[in-house]
Amino acid sequence: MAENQRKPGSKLVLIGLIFPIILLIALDYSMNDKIANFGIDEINPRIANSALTAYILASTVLLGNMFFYGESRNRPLAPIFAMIIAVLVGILATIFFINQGPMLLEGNGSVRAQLVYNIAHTIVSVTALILSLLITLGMLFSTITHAPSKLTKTYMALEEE
Amino acid sequence: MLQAALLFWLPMGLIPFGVWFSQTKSSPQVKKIGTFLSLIGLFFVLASPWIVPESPSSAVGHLFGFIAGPCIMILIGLFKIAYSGNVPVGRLPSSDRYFGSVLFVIGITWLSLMHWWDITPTMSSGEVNPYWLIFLPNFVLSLSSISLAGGLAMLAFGDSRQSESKYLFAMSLVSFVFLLCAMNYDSSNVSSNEFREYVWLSIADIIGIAIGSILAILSFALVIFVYEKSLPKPNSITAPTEDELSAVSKVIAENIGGEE
Repeated sequence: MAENQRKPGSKLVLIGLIFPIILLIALDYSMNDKIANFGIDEINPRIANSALTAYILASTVLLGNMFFYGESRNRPLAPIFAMIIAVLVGILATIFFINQGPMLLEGNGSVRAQLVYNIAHTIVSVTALILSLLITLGMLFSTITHAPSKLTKTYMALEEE
Repeated sequence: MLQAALLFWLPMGLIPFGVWFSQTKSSPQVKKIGTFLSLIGLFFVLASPWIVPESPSSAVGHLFGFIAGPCIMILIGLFKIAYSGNVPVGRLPSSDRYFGSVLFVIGITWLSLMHWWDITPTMSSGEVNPYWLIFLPNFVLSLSSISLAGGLAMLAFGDSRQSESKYLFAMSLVSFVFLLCAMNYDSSNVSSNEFREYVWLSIADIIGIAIGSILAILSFALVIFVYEKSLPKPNSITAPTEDELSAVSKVIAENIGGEE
């Protein structure tokens, strides 16, 4: 019971995900000066572009998943059609917001150039995220497979008793 | 423009398209075609700096070509370490643990030196590949966050995993220190101020990707929920009779149980 109380909760795991980001922001603010010609006007368009593009790419991947979901449901067209609409809403929203002026253009000359840049940018970012996830999972799995077996330990303890 | 669409974006689209088809269970032939399409797509993306050098998007292929070596070494290294341990099936010889560790260390060092040394991915114009400056902060920052969360998850959901979680905490700390150093000291090709700018943008990127992905998952869940709710309830069958129940009880009694 006492051992269980010392265990971190699942909320702490979620906090662990954002803790390095918050710490990095705090340290950079306290250690360094403001970056010249860089501020919230550069950060906000990146968040918006990234969110819109991630929505389009993720819903396109999920559209593929919907195709396999259909394999177990006699291939109904309704959910695939609904997911296509969800993807189209994302694309149209992106085009609409980028068309509103230089707000989301991030230095690109046209809507098409910004769209292509957004997709390339998100592919690279997602690749980085997937690689870091694979490394963490690989390390986690490696440490577990090289740890002494808990079953053997329990068995030895029971044998000694 | 058309050349870039045909020789870069079409093959790039073929990669997920091929992966989807390679996952299908209904036909082995479709599976093979899917794998083949993915490989063809990957080949064209990696060859894009030579095939469509004038397209700015080919910088993505250039980056993937540069990071392919260390990434493959890291992943193969981890695979060899993991499968040379206590796994029930497919166990590798214990010497693979050392070989895997060497591959992992070389891969990580190679990626680090790509920032600090003169082997930074540089375009033919002499400029640092702009996508490298997006990839590296995203990779290191997410590695620090995910490793920390992974270590905490081991403690939260595992049983006496303190010693094993230390490796993940160490990885999180090392990547965090790497970021801090890169934000305060110039490397041979990237100034610390430029890197700081890209770290801030990568934080914005990670927030945006999280928001976009959550919205996509929610819309996917909503579509499935609405569709499943619209389905008619399955027809109920009549309850089993006394004879059927006794026959089933007899079969169960004959097949379960054991000697005391």
